[in-house]
Amino acid sequence: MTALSKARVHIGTRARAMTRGRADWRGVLVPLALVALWSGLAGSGLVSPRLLPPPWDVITAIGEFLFAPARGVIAGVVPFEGAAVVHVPASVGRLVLSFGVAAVVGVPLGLALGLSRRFAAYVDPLVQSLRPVPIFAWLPLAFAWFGLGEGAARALIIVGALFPIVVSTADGVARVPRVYRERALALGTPRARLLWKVYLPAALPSVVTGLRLGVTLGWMSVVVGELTGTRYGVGVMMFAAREVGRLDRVIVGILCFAVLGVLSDLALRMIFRPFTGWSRA
Amino acid sequence: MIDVRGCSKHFGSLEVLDKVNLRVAQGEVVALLGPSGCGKSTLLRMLAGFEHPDHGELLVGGRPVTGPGPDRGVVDQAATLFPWLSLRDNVAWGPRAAGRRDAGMIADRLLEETGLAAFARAPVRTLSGGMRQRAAVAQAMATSPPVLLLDEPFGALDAQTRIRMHEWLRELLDNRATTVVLVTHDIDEALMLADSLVLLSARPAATVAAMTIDVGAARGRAVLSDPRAVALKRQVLDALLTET
Repeated sequence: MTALSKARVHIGTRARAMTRGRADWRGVLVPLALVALWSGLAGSGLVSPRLLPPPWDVITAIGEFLFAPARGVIAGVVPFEGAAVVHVPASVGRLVLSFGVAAVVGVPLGLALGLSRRFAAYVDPLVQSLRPVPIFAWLPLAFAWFGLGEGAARALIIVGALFPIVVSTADGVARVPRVYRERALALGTPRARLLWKVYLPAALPSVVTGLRLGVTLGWMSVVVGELTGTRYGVGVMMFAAREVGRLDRVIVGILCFAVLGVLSDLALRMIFRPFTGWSRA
Repeated sequence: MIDVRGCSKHFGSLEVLDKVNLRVAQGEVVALLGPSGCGKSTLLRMLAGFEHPDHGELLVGGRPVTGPGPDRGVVDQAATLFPWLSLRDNVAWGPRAAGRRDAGMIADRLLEETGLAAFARAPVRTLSGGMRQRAAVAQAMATSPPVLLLDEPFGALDAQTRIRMHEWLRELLDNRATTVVLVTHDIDEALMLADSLVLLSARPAATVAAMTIDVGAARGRAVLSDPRAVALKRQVLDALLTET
C-alpha cells in the first residue's frame, strides 16, 4: 500500500469515526430537549401529575422497580417494588423463545420464497395478505387456540416477529445478483451447495435486517402478548399500574421496553457484524 | 478446442445470433470484434454454458457445452468477485470446490503471480478496478481451465491501466497453453492480446471475417506501432464501419 493510499484510508476511517461521534451526540440532544420540555410542563402545574407524572417521580419509580426490597407475593397483585428481577426476565424469556422460533421458521421460509418461483407462486400471496394484519387482530384467535396466558403470548410474539424475517429474507435472496451464481457454477461449485456458498452469505445483510425488524416487532408483540393473562412481564406490570392510575410506573415500563429493544438490536448487530461487514459502503 | 457450429439465439422476438460459426485451436487467443450489442457477449455466455443456443452446436474439447463448468474460466467487465470473502478466499474458491487440499497454496501462488499477494486478506471492496480485474483473472485461472472466456475484461479501466493490464495478461498467457476467447470492442486490445480476430456483423450476429494477427515477435505496446498491425487495424475498422 502506498503512502498516499494509507493516508486516504486513515482520513476515511477518521472521517467515519467523527461522523459517528457527531451522530451519537445529536441522538442524545432530542431526548434531552424532550425531558426538559416534560420537566417544564410538569413543574408549571399546567398539566395534572396524574396525566403527566414529572420526570423526578419516574426516576423514583425506576429506583423502586430496580432496587427496592421485594414484597411478599400477594394473590392477584402484580408486584412493582423490586420486581424488575421478575418482570424483565419474564418478558425477555418470552421474546427470546418466540423470536427464536420465528427465526428458525422465518429464515428457511424466506429462503424458499426467494429461491423458488414455484414455491413463491403458492405461498407468497398468503404471506403478503397476512403480513399487514395487526397483531391485535390475532388476539381472539390466540385466546381460542392457546387459552389464556403463556401459550397465547408466545404465539402472538411469533406471529409478530415472523413476517419481517420472511419478507426481508425472501427479498434479499431474490436480489442476489445472478452473476454470483454463474461465477460459482463456472468455478465448479455443485448446485446443491449454492444455497450455503452463495445465496445465504450474499443475502445475509437482508436476513439480518429482517431479524432486526423481527426483534423490534417481537417486542411490540410482547406487550400485546402480556395482555393475555400472563402472570409476570413488563407489559403485565404496565397494565396493572395503569389500572391504579400510576402512570409513572407505566412510563417505567415504556423505558424498560425501549432499553430492551435497543439492547436486543445491538446484540443482533454485534453477532452478525463479522459476517455482514462487507456490505457496508 | 472450441467449435461453434451454426449457433442461433433469440431472446423473445429479438434475434441475437444467426448461424454463427467459430473454431478456436488449442492455445489460441481469439478476439471477437463486432458492433455494440451485436451478440458477442451472448456467444461468450453460450460458451460459458450460461445460455443455450436455440439451434446449432457448441463443442469445447470435443464435448457439447451443457452448462457452466470449471473447464471454462470466465472473467467479465465487472470483475465479479464474491464480496463477502477475502481476496485469497476468492481465488481459492475454484480449487476448494474441486476438493483440492492445496487450494490455499494455489491461491497464494496466483496472487504472487498477479502482484496481489500483499492484499490477500483484503476485502474485495477495498481493491481498485485494476486489482479487481487481476483478481478476477487469478480466480478464473485457479482451476487451470483449458479455456478462458474474457468478456470486455478491461473495458471499465482507464487507458494507461488498460495497457498495463494487456501486457500483464499477455505475459500470463504466454506461460500457459490456455485457449482464450476475448470479447472486445477495442481493436488495440484485440491486436495486443490475440492471435486472430473474428469479426461479427451487426445484430443478429453472423461471422463475417476471420483474420490472423501476424506481427512476428512484437509484443505489448510495440504491437500497436508495427506496420502490419496498423494495416490490419485499418482493415478491421473498415469492416466494422461497413457492418454498422
